[in-house]
Amino acid sequence: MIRHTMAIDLDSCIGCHSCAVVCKQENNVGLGTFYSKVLTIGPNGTYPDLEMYYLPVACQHCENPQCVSVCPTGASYKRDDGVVLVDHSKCVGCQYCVMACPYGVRTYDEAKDKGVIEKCTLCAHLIDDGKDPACVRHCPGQARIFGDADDPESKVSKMIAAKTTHKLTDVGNKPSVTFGLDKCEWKGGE
Amino acid sequence: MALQLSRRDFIKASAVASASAMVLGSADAAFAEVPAEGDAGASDDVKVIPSACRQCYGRCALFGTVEDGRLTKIEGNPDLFSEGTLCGRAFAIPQELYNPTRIRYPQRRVGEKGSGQWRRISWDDAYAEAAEQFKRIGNEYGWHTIAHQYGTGRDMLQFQAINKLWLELGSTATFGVGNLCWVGSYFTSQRLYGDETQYTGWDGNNADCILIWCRQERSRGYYDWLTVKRAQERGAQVICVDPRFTCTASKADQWLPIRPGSDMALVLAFINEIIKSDKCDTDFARYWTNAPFFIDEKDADGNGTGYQLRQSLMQEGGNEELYPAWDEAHDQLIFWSGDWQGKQGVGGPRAFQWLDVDGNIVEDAVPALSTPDGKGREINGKTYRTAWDLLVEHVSPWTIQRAAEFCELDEERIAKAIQTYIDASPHACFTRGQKVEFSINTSGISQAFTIMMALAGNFDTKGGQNIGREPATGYDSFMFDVVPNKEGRMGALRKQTAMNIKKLSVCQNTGYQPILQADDATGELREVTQNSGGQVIYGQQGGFGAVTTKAMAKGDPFQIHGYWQQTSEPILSIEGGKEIIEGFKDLDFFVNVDIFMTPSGELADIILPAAHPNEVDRVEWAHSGHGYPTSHTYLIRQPFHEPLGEAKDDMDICFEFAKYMDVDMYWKDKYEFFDYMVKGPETLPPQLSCASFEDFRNRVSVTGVQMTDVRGGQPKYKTGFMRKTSDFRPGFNTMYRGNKMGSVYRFPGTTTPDGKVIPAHPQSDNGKMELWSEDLLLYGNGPLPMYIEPPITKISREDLIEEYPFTLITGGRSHAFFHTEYRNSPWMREVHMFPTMDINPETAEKLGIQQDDWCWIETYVDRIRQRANLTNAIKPDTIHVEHDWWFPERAATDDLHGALDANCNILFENNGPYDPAVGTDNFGGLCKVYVAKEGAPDNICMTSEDLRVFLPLTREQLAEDEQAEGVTVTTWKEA
Repeated sequence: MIRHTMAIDLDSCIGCHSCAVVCKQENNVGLGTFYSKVLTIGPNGTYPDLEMYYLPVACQHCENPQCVSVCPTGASYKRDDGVVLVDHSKCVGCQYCVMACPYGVRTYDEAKDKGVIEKCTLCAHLIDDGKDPACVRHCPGQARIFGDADDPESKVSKMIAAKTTHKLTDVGNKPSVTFGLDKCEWKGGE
Repeated sequence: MALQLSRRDFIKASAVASASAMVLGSADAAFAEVPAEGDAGASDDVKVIPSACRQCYGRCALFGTVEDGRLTKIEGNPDLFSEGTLCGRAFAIPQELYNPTRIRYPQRRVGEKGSGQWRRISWDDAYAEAAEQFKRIGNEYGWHTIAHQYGTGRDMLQFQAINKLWLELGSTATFGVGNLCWVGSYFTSQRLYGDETQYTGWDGNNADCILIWCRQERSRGYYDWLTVKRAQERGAQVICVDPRFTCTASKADQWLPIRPGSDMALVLAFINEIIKSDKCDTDFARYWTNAPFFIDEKDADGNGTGYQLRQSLMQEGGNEELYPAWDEAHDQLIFWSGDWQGKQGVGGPRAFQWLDVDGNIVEDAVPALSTPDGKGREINGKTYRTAWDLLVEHVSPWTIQRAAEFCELDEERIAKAIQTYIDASPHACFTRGQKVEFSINTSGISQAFTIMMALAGNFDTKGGQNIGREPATGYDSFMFDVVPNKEGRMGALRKQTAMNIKKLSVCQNTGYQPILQADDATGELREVTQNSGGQVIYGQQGGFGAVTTKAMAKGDPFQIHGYWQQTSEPILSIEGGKEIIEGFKDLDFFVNVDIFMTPSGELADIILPAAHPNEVDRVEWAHSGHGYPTSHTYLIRQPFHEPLGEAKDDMDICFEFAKYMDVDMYWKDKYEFFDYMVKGPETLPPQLSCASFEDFRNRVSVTGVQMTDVRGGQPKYKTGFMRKTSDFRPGFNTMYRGNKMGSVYRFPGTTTPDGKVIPAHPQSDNGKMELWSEDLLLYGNGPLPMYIEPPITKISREDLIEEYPFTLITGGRSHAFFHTEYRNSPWMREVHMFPTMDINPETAEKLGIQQDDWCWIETYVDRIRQRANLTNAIKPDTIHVEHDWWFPERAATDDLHGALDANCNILFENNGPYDPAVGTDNFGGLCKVYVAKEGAPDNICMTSEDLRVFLPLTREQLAEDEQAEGVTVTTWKEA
């Protein structure tokens, strides 16, 4: 069974927002909406002993997605490979999922399909074609790794095994995106 | 349809290879507010075209998907040095191409300057009027009263065409471009050893230490970070010197938060420690540099020339190509022959050899670096010291302790960084950013970096500084002008200007201003008078921002009447923007060639529409590429489609206008030069030579061979490949000295404006790297790099501190923009919406400034508004503001598209002093900061929604508006 996941090596991420922009091209994301945001964490510490990292945040494709649980129409759903998606034909734009998401990565786009929820799809249209998501393919730091978490030989599994890893705060939703960070102290998204 | 699409053979040829690997789904809607009918996925006219990005200096390789003649998608090309990675700016290319502010047809101004009122004219009318006006000005006032200007990074070939056109017409004045951020390093490297290694040419692939001086990982050529990251993963130490805790600093193993502008003290400490260490490469200094040469020092009575000693200066009838030194092996006087041209009787096999007093080659000579105790050696009754003696005496007082004081750094941090660099040498490399360049001592600091790299033994070593780029074909862009000049095709106007440059240069009165220089022995700052070296740029004495501004606005030293500007924006990028506006308003005639409507463009008489870089053909190469293969690769930049409307390639515009002006460009058109360039010299290995540009187009890229691979791993300077004279003698090349038109202050017999006469001196190219530099001495800097305190710091201007208590630094690169570019890009502005001031939270609290407050930043010159970002990345006493901000969403009549609200360069005066050699000014100072009660500047985009005014025009919108009444710039309030 394939379990698609994303891991991001924060030691490699230079906070350049390439992922945020290429995503707009690939997924036709409107102005004001970002599937992927890039936060600057820090600098923390006492000058001049500082630490800083960048944290790209998009849908965490949770194992136990709250957005799916609260969706009244079944528009939000989780595929067998772990990817959480929104079926725009079923979405009524009620935004319950926006409120349920602990990470604020879902956006209501009034202009699209008469008002629907937008979020990172892990470029499902590409991965179903055997390709990497657009942000993975183009990342200037080669910080983003995509693959099968159940395959210990996959690049993503190896990266997760090799690094000190972290997840965004888990409130029972079990986020699947892994962040590798060896050089700094993990401060989450603070 | 506005787009006239013609199918081109190359598109068919190049699309085949990669199309199958690409996703060809339509994304037209992503680039336009309203998707055009029938576009979505229905087209069978889809091409995937390999090309290059021109949106910074990195030149990443990319593919453009073009559907029915419209660019719909950008993707990275994984097969070249950028490894398929791309930054956001590349994906925003379609937003530039179809931007509403784009100029697509030639325009003539019909209202007052700055009124924003334009009317479309034909190319013929535009050229004819421009030719008539420029000829009138040239004939009436002299051709030197026409200034010309080109922007940065638009590409070096375009620069060559613009420069050639206007030099041939006798124009000299320019605002310059690289001389505020790159030329200092380039110029100095050329003078000292004949190539460049400071921004480029570092071998991070094999380095054990990478010393990064004020350079951002994500400012240009982001693929550099992959090199740095992999080096770290291998165990290399990365040291970052930067006043700010930048992305680079956060990734580095060591960070030295240096006091802005104090860099020289730290480099001198590096050199001092290297010399004292057992790693100092004294063999390199002894055999490959001029360190063993005796110097004919000037004594207190004014005796002595101050130059390198020659036999001709020692004795009557002596040879001026013989440079004396002392041979330790045989305890004898020896002479280095610099007579590679065979003009002084010691050439042929004796050139670049040590000779004894009888002129015999001394094969096993060991030239002494120092004289006994460094006090000098008596020869023929006179005592001489060596260049090495003087260098050691100069740097010895620059201890780590002193550097710590000057740079406000912790001594241990400095010691650790220097030791790391020394330990890793000769596998340590160095690279720098532009910020070290923004000073009145830019050529001096570039010399200091050269000495540091040389004495650490890092020149042309694995993991060190691979000297220069080695373009795949051996020919670079400068051949555009070199070839015709070699063939004697320099025009009469150009010759006349060159011969009378002293009267015709806007730089004729510069220099001779007080500066604060450190006394080596005591470290005390003392006021001395700055020299002037004539402020050259690219070898010609042409001018720089401040002096050209003075000439335009004040008529000093003469009035500029005409101006041709191509893809540049001096109001934003040069200090004293308000005075530049005044100068532009005073012009009799001004032609602007650009892609978009800009602040200065609104003051032009005629605007010519430039094609976007992805609408033209070019031979392209990474301007920030390092190590193999980046440094050795040419790649194609070819159009995704024909230029929109009637826009034309900048190079074609130069060639066409040259005909109106009767200028001999030598090359028939750009393709004739491209053919020459990609073919390369006869000696080129056949696999690197392209039969023609079309052949090159089909190949997409050519990657050259490293010289070290050809010559058994030997450094380039040992193989003769450093010699641009093609004599292939081992050694360096300093042939650029003494050859250039315009550098009058260096010619013997010339009287400088302060009445000094340049004494006779031979023009030397003796194959040695110059550590002690005769050339920089002649250019006004002095022979050794001196510490100069910037003109406006807490140390140099104590009188200002009370009112302006903070150190102000400017110009840190933003990854969303490229200088003035992308403020009209919805996607990039969304990523970085506002001009941003960095301030320490502690300082902000004291001043009552909260995150995102709009604040005034005020110097004794002027004030601007930017939005506060509270960050520990900056020291509590320092403020950083961003450069080149304007608001294209504002109307022309609204402060020239908001060119003055947030533009940091209006905060500095333009009255000097400047770097004596290249004219760089000072772009930092002292400021106060306070909350702007007015909030944001009026009429700017405040939300993503506001940015809709910049969304790409659809095909239909493009077709409908042929810009008969100018370019419609919709301000967001009207939208």
